[in-house]
Amino acid sequence: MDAPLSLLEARDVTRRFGALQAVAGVSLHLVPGEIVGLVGKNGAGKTTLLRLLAGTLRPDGGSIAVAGHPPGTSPARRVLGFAPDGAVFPPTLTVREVLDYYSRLHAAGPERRALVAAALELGALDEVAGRRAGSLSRGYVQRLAFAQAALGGRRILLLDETLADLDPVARRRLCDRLLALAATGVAVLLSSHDLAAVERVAARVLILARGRVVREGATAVLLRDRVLEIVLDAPPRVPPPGFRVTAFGLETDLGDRTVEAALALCRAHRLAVRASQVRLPSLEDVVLDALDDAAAR
Amino acid sequence: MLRCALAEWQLGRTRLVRSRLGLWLLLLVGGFVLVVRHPVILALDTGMLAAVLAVAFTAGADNDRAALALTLTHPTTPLAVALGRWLAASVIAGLCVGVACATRAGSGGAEVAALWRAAAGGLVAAAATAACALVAVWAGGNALAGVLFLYVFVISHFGPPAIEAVLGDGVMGWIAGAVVRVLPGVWRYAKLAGGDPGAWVHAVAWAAGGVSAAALMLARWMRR
Repeated sequence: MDAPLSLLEARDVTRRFGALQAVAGVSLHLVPGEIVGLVGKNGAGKTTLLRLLAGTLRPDGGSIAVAGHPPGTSPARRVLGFAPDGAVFPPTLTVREVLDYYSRLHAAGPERRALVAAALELGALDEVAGRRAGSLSRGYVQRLAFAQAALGGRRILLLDETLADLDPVARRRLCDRLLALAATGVAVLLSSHDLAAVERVAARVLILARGRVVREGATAVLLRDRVLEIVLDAPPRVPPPGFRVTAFGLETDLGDRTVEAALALCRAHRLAVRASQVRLPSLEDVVLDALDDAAAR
Repeated sequence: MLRCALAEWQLGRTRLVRSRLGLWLLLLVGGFVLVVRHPVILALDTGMLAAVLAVAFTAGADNDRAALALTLTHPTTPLAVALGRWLAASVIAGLCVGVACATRAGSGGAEVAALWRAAAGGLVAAAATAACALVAVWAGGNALAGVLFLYVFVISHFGPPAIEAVLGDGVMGWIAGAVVRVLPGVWRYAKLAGGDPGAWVHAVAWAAGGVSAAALMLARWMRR
């Protein structure tokens, strides 16, 4: 079977701001119906990468194609929606008017009104539809940014910290809507520090550090390696090789080792093991591990 | 393109009724109707200053300029956005000219034909000034709109000879004279009502060139 055609394709994209290499040779692709998580520390280059893909920044090198078009062009903007972090809307317009303003750029007449209604529903913004954009809390601003990005049935969504500052109910609802959009074939690149939410919705994760992708893969594959948690009577001065010190003792990625082999190593280091359990790693473990590896290189 | 440009009117309409723009324009029109006797100067002062205010309130504030970044991620163009903002400001200023001239006509203070000519001149001058103001606010924010407002209100009433006479024959006088010749000014647009071709060409050139320059600035600014 043929691989699905990429909606968004970036190859060796670079961007520098003075002495700072913000994005250094990043390649990625998005296929229809896929949600990809983009994670990394502050300043890793996530926002710059999203702006390059959205066409609001020009890359220094490399190539980007949005459904076959250069980013920032009219055909590309018709299929790609961008929800920037801390989006600014015309402050005297109400939420409904903001969506109406943007929808006029996509359609006219009854079709436009249908777009506004759909966007209000998608962002769960009905309750604040009459409130001015300038008076919205940050959570609602994020939801409005998401709603405007998805306007007009766009097939690619770039979401920059859209899950930030949402209450748990709104975050869960937004995650569900992202999954529902992906089920209709929309490709989503979601940048977020909310790793639990990324773990929940993303089929694939890219971990960015210093402008480079330091680890990427299907979420299920990244989270496959088991972790052995060991509770000790007293914390060790120096952990055995491959072990990390935790609040309650030690932990280690098991990899191909057995639990018995790992515990034997602890005993060989004269550590009094009180209890142990095996768990699957969280995305947070994977991200921290990848960032540690990147920093060590 | 036209649909995208007309979408910008929504911003002008809401600013007119929900911000202090409406109040400022009311004071501007009322003040000039009370103070200015000559219908041409009434139409020009009202139109040109209303245009600067309208642009400042619809395009010059930091929030408005920041919001442009998001607008341009939708299928519109910098030219459509610039054209729409210019059109909205020109319509608002045109309304002010209309109200001022109608009030003067109602009070029987001037001949109707002269008022019609003055209103036409005021409209064209407002359109030229709106384009100039758009370039100014996208280059330097509302600080430049303030400078332009003061320039139109005070300096632009005097022609280059008067400016050069005040500042002397030196470099400053030459520069000030050149600025007054290039920028939209009451001294030049006072001839619009009489059908002076030079004034009409200057105003139309500012309207077309200003919108194009604003669109270019927007395009460069949005895709660095």
